[in-house]
Amino acid sequence: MSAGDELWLESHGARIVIRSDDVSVLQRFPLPFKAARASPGDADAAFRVRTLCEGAYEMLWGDESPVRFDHATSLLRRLGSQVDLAIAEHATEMLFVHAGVVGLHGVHIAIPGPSGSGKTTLVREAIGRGATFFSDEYAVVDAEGRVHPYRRPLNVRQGPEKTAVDAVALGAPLGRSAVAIDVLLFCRHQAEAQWHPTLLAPGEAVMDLVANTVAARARPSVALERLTRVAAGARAWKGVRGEAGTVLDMFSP
Amino acid sequence: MKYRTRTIGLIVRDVGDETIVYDRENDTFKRLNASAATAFRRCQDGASLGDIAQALADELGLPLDDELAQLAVSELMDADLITGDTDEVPLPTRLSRRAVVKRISAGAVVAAMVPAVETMVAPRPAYAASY
Repeated sequence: MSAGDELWLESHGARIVIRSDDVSVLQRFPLPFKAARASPGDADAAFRVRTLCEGAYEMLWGDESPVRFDHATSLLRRLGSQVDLAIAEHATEMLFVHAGVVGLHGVHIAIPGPSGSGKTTLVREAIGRGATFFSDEYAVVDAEGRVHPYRRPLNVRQGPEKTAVDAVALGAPLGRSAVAIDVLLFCRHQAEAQWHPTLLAPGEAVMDLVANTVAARARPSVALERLTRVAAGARAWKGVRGEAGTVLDMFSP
Repeated sequence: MKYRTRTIGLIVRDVGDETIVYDRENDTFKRLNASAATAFRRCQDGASLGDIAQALADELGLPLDDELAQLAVSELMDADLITGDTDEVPLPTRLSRRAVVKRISAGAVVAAMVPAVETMVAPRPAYAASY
């Protein structure tokens, strides 16, 4: 394969390569936040995209089974998510926690949770209330326990599909520097549920953060050091929520 | 009978009055609540049940109670965080947590102060994927 069919990236110390027999895929692939093009060398993670018939694609990576896409749009969205995850897994400087992060009325809020837990809904609702946007996907934690922005479009679920929505287009001011987290919100969505959260002990908060930390198994010492700092400086609430607005009412001025 | 903290394969971090431990042997994170954490620390130099009961009383204001100490030992041994000198005295009886909570609650000890260890297997990266 020629060098022109490869895209090498580096972000937060992680090196990623994407190979494709369709150069337009590499040209259209939006670089992840704070990622830069890199020279070829050793890769922490490698992705391959093959063209199939009639505009369809197949993506292969790691030990995963090949995934087929009927459109370039869906391919690029999934490729973006997987590259983000590879960066999160192999980053050497930062610790990535699966979480949305916003600043609302001077309170910096992290919303950890897996896919489908309703993070994006809360982030979008917060933006509608004037929140500063830091991330819809990852809280990027440094050695001091502060969280850095990780911007990428919000993946808004519409039925079975997701649509990429730019936070700027929603009118959100962008967080540009690292912040200390004031509040951790561990929420699970359930229709009609009332929001009666429990205040967690710091140790409980650390465990719930660990559950959403990409490199918790690979870098447990770093994870414990940084997550205990995050938890020690924040109030952590956990509960089942109904409407997102009822949760954010906690932070009304 | 002395109980001692396991020294190999553990990463220990205190947060507030609790302790989080990572066990490299089985890739698990363990949360020790305040009383379990107190017992765990006390076992670092070797401790008897009486030593542990005294530490729980001195540091947390809990009643001087051997059953509380036994429950702490039971929780920590189940989590493979301490070992005992089994040649000397039999292991403490496995106590019903509910029974201990019920008994000492009458003495105004809140259930949250009863020794407890929560264990969670470390997540794999793919768990955090979102697309």
